[in-house]
Amino acid sequence: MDKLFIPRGVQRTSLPKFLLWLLPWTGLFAVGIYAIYLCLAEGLFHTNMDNRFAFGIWIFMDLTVIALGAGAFFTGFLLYILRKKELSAVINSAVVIGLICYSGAVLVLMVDVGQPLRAWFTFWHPNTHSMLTEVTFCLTCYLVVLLIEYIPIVLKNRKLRQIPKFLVFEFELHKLMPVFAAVGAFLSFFHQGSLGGLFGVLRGRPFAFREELGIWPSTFFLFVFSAAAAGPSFIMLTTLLVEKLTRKRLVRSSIYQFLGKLSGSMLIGYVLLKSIDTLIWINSTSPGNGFPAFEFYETQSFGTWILFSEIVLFGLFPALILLSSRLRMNRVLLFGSAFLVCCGIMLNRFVMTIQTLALPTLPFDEFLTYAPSWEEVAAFLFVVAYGVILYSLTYRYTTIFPQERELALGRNEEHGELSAAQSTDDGSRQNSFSAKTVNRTIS
Amino acid sequence: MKQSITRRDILKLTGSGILGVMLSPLPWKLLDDSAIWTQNWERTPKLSHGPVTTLFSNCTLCNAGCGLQLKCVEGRPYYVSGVRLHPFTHGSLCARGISSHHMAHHPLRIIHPHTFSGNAGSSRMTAVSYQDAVSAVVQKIRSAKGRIAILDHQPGRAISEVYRSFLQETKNGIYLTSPSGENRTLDAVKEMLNNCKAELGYDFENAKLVVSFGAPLYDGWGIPGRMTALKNGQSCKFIQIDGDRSRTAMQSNQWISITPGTEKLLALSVVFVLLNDNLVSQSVRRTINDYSSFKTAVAQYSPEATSTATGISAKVVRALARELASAESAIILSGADPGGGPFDLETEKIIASLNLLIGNVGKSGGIVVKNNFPGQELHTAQIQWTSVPDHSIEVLIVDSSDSGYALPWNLIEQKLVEKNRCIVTLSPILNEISAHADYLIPAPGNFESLMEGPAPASNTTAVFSLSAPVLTRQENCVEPIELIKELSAKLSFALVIPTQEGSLRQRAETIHFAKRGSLFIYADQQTKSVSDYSTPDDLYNELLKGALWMDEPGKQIPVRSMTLSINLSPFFAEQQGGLKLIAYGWRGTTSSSQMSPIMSKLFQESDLRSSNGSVSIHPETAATLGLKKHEYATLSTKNGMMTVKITIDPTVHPNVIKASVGPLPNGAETPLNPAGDNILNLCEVKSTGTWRITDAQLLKV
Amino acid sequence: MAHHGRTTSESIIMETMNEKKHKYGMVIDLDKCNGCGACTVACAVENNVPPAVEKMNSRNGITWLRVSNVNQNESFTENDTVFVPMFCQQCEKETPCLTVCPQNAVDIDPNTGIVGQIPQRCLGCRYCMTACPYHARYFNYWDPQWSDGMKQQLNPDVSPRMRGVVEKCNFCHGRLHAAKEKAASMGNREIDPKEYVPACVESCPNSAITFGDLNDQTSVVAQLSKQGNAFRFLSRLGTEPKVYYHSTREWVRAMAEQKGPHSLRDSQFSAEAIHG
Repeated sequence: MDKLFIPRGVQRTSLPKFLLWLLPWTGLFAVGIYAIYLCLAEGLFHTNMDNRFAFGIWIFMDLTVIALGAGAFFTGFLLYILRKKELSAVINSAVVIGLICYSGAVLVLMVDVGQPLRAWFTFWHPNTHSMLTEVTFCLTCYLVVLLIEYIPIVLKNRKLRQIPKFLVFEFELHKLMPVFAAVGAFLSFFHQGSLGGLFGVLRGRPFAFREELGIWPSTFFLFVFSAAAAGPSFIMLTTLLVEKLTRKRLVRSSIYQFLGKLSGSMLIGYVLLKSIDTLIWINSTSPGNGFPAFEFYETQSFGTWILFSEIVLFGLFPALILLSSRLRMNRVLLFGSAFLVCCGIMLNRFVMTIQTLALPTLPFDEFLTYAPSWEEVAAFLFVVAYGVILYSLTYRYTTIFPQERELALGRNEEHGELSAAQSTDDGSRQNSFSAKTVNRTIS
Repeated sequence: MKQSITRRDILKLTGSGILGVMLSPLPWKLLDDSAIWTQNWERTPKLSHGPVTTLFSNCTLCNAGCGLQLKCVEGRPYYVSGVRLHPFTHGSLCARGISSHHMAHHPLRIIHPHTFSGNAGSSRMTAVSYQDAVSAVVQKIRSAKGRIAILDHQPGRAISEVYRSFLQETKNGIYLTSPSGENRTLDAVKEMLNNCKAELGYDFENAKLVVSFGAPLYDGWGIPGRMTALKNGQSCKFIQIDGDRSRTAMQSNQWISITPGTEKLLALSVVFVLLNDNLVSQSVRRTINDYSSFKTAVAQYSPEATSTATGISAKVVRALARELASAESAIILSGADPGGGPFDLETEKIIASLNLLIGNVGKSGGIVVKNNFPGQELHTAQIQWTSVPDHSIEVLIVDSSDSGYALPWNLIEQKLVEKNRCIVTLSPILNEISAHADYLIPAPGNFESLMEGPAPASNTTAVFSLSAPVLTRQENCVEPIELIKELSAKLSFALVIPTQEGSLRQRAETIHFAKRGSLFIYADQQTKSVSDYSTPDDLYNELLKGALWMDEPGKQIPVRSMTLSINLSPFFAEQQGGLKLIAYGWRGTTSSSQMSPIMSKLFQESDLRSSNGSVSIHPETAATLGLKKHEYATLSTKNGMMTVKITIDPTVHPNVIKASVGPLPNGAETPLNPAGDNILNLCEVKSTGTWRITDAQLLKV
Repeated sequence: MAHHGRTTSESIIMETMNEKKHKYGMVIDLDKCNGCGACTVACAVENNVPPAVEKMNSRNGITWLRVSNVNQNESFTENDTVFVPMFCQQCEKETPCLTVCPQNAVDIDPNTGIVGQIPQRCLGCRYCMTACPYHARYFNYWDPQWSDGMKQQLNPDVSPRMRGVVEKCNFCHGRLHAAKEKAASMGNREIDPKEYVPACVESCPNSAITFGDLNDQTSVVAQLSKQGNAFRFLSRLGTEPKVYYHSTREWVRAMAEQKGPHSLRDSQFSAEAIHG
């Protein structure tokens, strides 16, 4: 039965092995569900958040995964609007990751708020001045777009394609995809920005408060840029991870090169903007509010090293590597840089949520620390487990990577430069061989 | 016609079904209903919407006796505030009084008689019938060879007289009151006035100078509203002699910082200056029976000799003495911290003697003589706990009233016989003494029964007020007077004990008969003379509706004779280095008292007040010990050890570990202090009657 | 609709009264406050704030009005102490919590200047809490818990809040409402200022808090707010809080204007905060 759903021309591991792979994730998933149940049924006292640390690991995680999931909107934008055909190799993966990240974030957000059953009030009595309203609207709409984008991937499944209606539907949907991609890109652009705006508007938190450009604080634009930079890098990393786990090649290395360059060019823009923003903040915004900026870095563990890491170590450094076509050819440097980019975005989102809240505002307030409770961590891991499970299922039963089949058959123009990892791996050759055989048998 | 259902049909049906449902009001109604559910769910209580009324009453929670205004819904109080023009409290209340209406509904309220077995604590509590408990106590009193004692925290009430007469009937009765309180200095003065029978009070309103030896005058001492009004009136200078910069010290006109534990030396030096600089008037000197021996006794305590120990320069001491002598009227009073307890008897006496030496007893603006309560005999000073022989009390009955002052179990235990003793407590909650008792009889909760307003010792006139029942009384509760009546009957004592109401009506009758004083009526904030009431019943009913009877001021007679009789123990020898544990507390919040659970706002949900198990040390001390804020440390004394939480507080004297005798940490609502967890258990109760200072060590856990 | 902002009776009162614009504010004399805590408890009792549950601490408990103990420095002899009652400062301009709420659960009454919180509409996202520079907003991490008897003793004028919503000081809105009803029943357009006094003001034994209409130039509060020694915390953020403080002590005023949090590093001003 399971075999009937597996796409033609690709090799998938045996069902028991697959189930074994899912088992620990399902366990994690179950623990997460229990933690979420506790928070929803009994109250948020199960978390370690408090009145000063009103946002915790969950908001940090939401900001991070949404930034990492930005690959979906950005890739879609480039593929469908700017016609960068190369990206069709990863668009499905980007959509799945986007869906996982966004739905995971929304799910946790619903646990994070005290009264999730009232979440729809935002649509009924929206406060148009609130960045969170912007976030909520765009996030909800974009999640719908992602679902629509995800449907064709599912419908491409071998078994489901047998239903003619689905095939027609998928075909029609595919024609509309540029429209959705455009809408998605637009929505995503706004909510990535508004997520940054969330903190930039906090007049009462001089550490986060930024000058306005038009109607948005500068963090709005910084978040858009940084998300656009992190999205492709995260796609690279996840694809690499899947390749390593399944021990086969899924995309051509030129795609990685392209994504790396893309990430690098966005990142250099971000670094530039971030530097200008930081300088303005240090010299004007913060002292203007009576808070000399460097004093924020004088407290305990949050020193200026954070600023250095954000801009140089996780910014300029990987950006320069990714922009150099020579350095990019080195896989370690390429993926290492992508990793740094993702770390950078996590650090930035951490700074915006956690450091902002840890720093005191009133003269007699204290620097506070916060450590998440097990329930918070479990809910966080729940999203990870959920993502792994959904991705695994999608991978197993659909062809997320269109190039997978070609690469498996060895029919690719880059045949000569099979990666070191693969050439040393007997198993993968074995796999491609048997795939070939299977394919022949079928035909 | 036969038609097969195709896959297409199913899809169509599902699609149109979803669309149909979305277009119907159903999902939207569901959405709305679920939101409405969150707004009205059972977890949030519903409000009463019955009639709102205002009642007036008096607070009986400590012996300050503040006037109360109760806003009630359906007859139940929901907001307590002061009576604005109340003659003593001037409308102010403490946090405990503001939340006093909750106490009867405390989650840990005791509503059945209980007996205890084994060690102290709630785990060994078993329910017992009231009759069984009474029979057991009667048996015990009959067979007792030791003394029978009643501990009354609020002396001066009608029931206090009942206790005294009951004890007279027993072979070996002893009437005890709280060992601390604002009456300490007054009692010492009474003793030095040749053990006279009189009621004394502090005439702060006319005083020009008040010198306090560590008494928390602005933090719950005496009648808090009165002290606040005095402070804000600024007609009188307040000098606070305190080891640390306490709440009172910071608000006083002058703070003299003293090395904790050397208060006696300072007082002696002041005496020394008064005597040697001829600051004691001839008229006063003539009344002192033992002037020369007194002078000899203090001869070695010149300010210069004590200044190293006290940390106060001789100049300051001399200035203080001169200021006292030249003040038109001055009051010198001593400590008795609600948690830390009194000074030793000797210190108390020396401080009290200052009042006599500057001639400010029996004089306006000093310590004044009150008229005695109509129709009631006068009493000498309360019996000091130090004068009760150790291990002599066999039966101890503890009244449900509260002085607001802590009473260490160590002190009580010292006075109890070691075996076969019997402790009976009347209490609405399981307080600290009750946890050590043999029988706990549930007393009516606050506002549940007719109570007499306490008579504040520091007051200048006798007062009488009532607290009428407002809440429905719990079924099994026993009023203290009912218990005494029951015991008296079973013991076949020849006593006529009235009911609670009867005893209070009697008081109203005597007041009416004496035609003395006036009533301040809370509802209309008017004063009315007693003679305006035609019958005692009218007077009683007026009091029941919320009023305060105040006696006329007493006639002041100059002191004719006094015996200071101070035998000084060698003091300098007692001085030792090292850290000192000093307990402190906030009136009414120690382990002996009941509090509303809402007091968690101060003890648990903010750090405004410290709970038991939390100690404050000076930043320097913390640095020396390597301790940081909110770390845990082991506090050990001769009596044992306890894990405590560190608070860094620059107002604390660097040599001191200031430990709160408050409620248990993270359990401000828990009145129970199981033995061993209370900071008071670490305090050494000295034979001189003090537990103020104990040598201690603090080690990082 | 599921939420209710203002009750119908209140809107009727407001219409009939055609109110003149008030700007309620306070001046707190820090030299008078001795940290007794009466205001904190009176506030909780008046506004049906539940007592703590066992696990509550100073970081997740609910104290609409919190008094912090601030020390001048570490020296025992030179140190001075001040108690600072801190609660919603009713920011007038660019009210930080108002603009961030996604569903309009925070409002400002234009006739009183009071920043209100509508618990029935609150989603519990806590964004307003991160926005508030005074940390004056509190979240119901627990369901409110009272003993059965205490439930019967709740203030009938103030709705208890459910778990999962944010709450804060609203200058005793229940009392304002009651005063308005009383005025309306007597046919008056304006409330008697004596009828509307928040619980903290009423309960302060030291009369340290003065309350009134800052727009009324003859009022005591308006005059006190203009005194030389009056100041506001974090006034430099430009939010125009309506709660003023007063102290004749220079260091206290300097402390309020302390720029940046650097002073905390050497724990010069120590206050509250435990981690539970």
